[in-house]
Amino acid sequence: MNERQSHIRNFSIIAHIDHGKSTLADRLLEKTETVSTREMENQILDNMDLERERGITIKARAVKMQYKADDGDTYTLNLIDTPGHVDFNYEVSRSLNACEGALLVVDASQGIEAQTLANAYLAIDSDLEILPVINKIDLPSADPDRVRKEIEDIIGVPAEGCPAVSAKTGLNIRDVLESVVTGIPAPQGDETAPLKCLIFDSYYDSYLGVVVYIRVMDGTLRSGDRIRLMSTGAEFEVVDVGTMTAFGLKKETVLSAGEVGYFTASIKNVSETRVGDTVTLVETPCDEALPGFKQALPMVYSGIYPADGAKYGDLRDALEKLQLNDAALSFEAETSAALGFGFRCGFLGLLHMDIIQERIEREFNLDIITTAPSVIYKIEKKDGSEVFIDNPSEYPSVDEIIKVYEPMIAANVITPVEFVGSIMDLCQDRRGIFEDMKYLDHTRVELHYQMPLNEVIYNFFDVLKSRSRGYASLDYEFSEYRESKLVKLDILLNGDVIDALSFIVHDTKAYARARKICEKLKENIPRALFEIPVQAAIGGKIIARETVKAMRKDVLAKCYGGDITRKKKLLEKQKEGKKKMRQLGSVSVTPEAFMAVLKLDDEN
Amino acid sequence: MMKTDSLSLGLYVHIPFCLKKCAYCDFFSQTDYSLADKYLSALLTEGSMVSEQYRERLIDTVYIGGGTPSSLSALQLASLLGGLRERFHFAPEIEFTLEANPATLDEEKLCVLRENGVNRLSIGLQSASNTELCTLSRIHTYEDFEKTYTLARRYMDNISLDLMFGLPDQTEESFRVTLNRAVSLKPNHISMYALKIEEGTPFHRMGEKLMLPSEDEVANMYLYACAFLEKAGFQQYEISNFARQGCLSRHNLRYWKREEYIGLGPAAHSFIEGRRYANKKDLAAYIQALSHQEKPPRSEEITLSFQDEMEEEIMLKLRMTAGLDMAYLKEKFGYAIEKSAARKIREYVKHGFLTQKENIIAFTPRGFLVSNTVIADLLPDE
Repeated sequence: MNERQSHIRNFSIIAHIDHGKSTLADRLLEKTETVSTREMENQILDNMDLERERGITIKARAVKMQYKADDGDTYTLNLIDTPGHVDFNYEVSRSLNACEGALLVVDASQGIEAQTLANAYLAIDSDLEILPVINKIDLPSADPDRVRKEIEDIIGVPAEGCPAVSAKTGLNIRDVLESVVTGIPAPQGDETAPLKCLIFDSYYDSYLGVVVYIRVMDGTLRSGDRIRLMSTGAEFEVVDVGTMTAFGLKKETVLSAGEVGYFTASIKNVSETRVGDTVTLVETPCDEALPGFKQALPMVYSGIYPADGAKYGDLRDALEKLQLNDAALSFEAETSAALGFGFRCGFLGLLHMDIIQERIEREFNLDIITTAPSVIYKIEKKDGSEVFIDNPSEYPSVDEIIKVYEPMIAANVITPVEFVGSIMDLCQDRRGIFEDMKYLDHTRVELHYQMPLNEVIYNFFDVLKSRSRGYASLDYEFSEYRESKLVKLDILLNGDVIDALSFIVHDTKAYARARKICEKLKENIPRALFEIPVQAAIGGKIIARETVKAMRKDVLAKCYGGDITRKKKLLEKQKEGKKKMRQLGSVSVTPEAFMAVLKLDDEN
Repeated sequence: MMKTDSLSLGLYVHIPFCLKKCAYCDFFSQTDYSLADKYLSALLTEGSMVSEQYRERLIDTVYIGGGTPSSLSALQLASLLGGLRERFHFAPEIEFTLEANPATLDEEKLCVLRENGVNRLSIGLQSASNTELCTLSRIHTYEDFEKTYTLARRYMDNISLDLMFGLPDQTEESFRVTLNRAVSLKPNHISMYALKIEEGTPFHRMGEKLMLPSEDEVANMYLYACAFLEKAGFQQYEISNFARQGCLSRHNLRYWKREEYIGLGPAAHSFIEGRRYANKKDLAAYIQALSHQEKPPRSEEITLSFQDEMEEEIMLKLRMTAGLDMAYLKEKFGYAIEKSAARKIREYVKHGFLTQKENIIAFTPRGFLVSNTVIADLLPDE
């Protein structure tokens, strides 16, 4: 190890949502005078509005700090921030691979949560040095000793003497920096070896092209170098290299082994620079790529349609722009008889889906209609073929199917003891297969279930939260495809099948869901002058029916004292309302009603 | 004949005073009468301006509405009516209506009315149930009404009654009683309005606490009334209006036939020379402006476009049982509704909302109940 590398520390911060990760990052920047307090906009690392509002980190970020330690030397600290949510598990694991250590932030009153554990395990898997930090000790309910014990018992990491801080007030932040310097190993790359860099993030900039965040494992990288991305073999010429400051990119002449930085190379699309890929030189390539690369695959699909059919082109633009920065987002055009032209979109998970939908509405100012999320089913057909279906409308008819498989997840729920019964009921109800239960301490329990993903995307998280008064936390990962008895449920309005409302459901749940959705439609479909039958059917057999009664009377506004304009305004309002309606077959439905039916989120 | 028609004009006069505000009413009126005399003189000033402008026009309908015009004193009524007669040129066969509430009329006032040419009264009965009248916060009982009606009959040959349905706690049965009583008094005309909860009224503020009959009940009340009144000799000629032979309200017909009228007073609407305008709902500003011989402030002023005129034609003609003459519509506006909306019209006829006789489409009573939806559907898309 050389002198240069011995003064570098690469680390990330892992935590459960709301345990104060971003606030702690802010304090570290402040203490190292990377930014002054005055310049400090809260939570610089989370610079997407949406992230700040939701208090979560969506994309990984990185920043370089200089810190003068108690030993008198100045160290370069590279903080690599990671997304905290299970949807972005893969991105987390890649970010962790760019580090030698991780700060494990735990809330002093909440203790360990599902994501704390999930991320801690990821860090342990990546052979990182884990330094616990107990945060929020300023809160009256803080119990740092209990949490310390929890960390030691559950995660198996020594927590004696670990920093106990308040990121909010700035208390003991210097302890954290000292423990980074003394507790996290320096990188040990070989500068003279062939170049080997790990891509841990990238984003599209309209001036620079794709900006690629890398950790140099071995070798050196300079502008002008010809590089190769090892998973695709694509080659580029490096334009700039540099480091990330709190305020933007700073050009450098070289990036060497052990360092964290960025490069640009006139790359047009982030799908070229996949997280986890290895960068090497064309001239003197390294022997083998860094392990662990995989392409992030969508797990959840949903149709996105413009509320106003004329905005189809705008929606395409929006998705294309979002995809520039989000290689995990996939979409292709689809047509629905009910909703017109739109896109079938693939997401890493529900949060990813939510975020994309919200960004379309917010950043591109588009009203959209989304169909119920679906997972990918594997179907063995009688003609010997095997198909993957992510859209209920493509589901083959029953007599073509031999077997259907659905994706299962390994779910990990942590909950206070008093909610265990109710949560086990929920998991059971959602076709979960109990694996084991572990007491983390005398107040909290960790539950392991195998569960069908299609039950989890159906408001599982919301119900989990409401049954545990917000205390239970969930983490999951894909485990396998398992054979299942599934059926396609069609919804008919006025006798017409409404394709956008069809969904795949387990045989045992079909009746209950059918009744529920019919009731919900009945509540939400505005009454028309004629009666509207609402039916649910499996393979042509009606299994539930409701009727939207005909409207008998509307507003009989009098035309009095010659006030014709008032009457006309009333009619215009009615006409406007009519314009906003979506035609589902022969039935007019407001977009709000359509969404309400899709959400079905009123379940206890 | 054509010439007289085009020159005739309706006159609406607004009296924005009531002894008490009813809980459902959002018409412009107030209970403070201190400005009444000043107001009446401002009203006549506006009358002078209008009559100056339309000097050659013959007034053949007058409607004094409110508010409660009958709550003015005999003296005030005399000066108002006399003042109008001095300023306007009244046709000999004029229909001259005044709105009255029970318990605000006496012989002296009735004499003044008759002497000044008022030949039609529109009396607000609303309901024959005292409980319902109380809920509406009307100032009178049914017995008060009967007394007023009997007295008024001695002076007036043409009396119309206002009824309401869809009232809080009203039942189909209680409404039938109201209809029976109303008909037994043999009025010449009945107007029957569905209660609509208007913003800014006490009823609106009561929200959910107001126990309104269900939509089905309200629809039943309406359909029952249409049939009942028809049988009792009252021909329905508009959504809310029923008349004995020859007693249709000529003034109100003006509104629906798009004939011209001028409104005097705050909140009054006018339709003349292709423009619609309304005076602002501001009594003080009204008096102030006219005391300076200025036109009163307006709240809206619209010159109708070709499209507006056509939409009005469709919407207003369909309010009447006489219906919309599609051939006339095509001739006048070049819009062939029988072609553009052929499928819709067929569907509505099939389901019994509309009838079609050659070029005329008209609502049935069931159709009137949902006329907003149907008319909005039939109006051409831009």
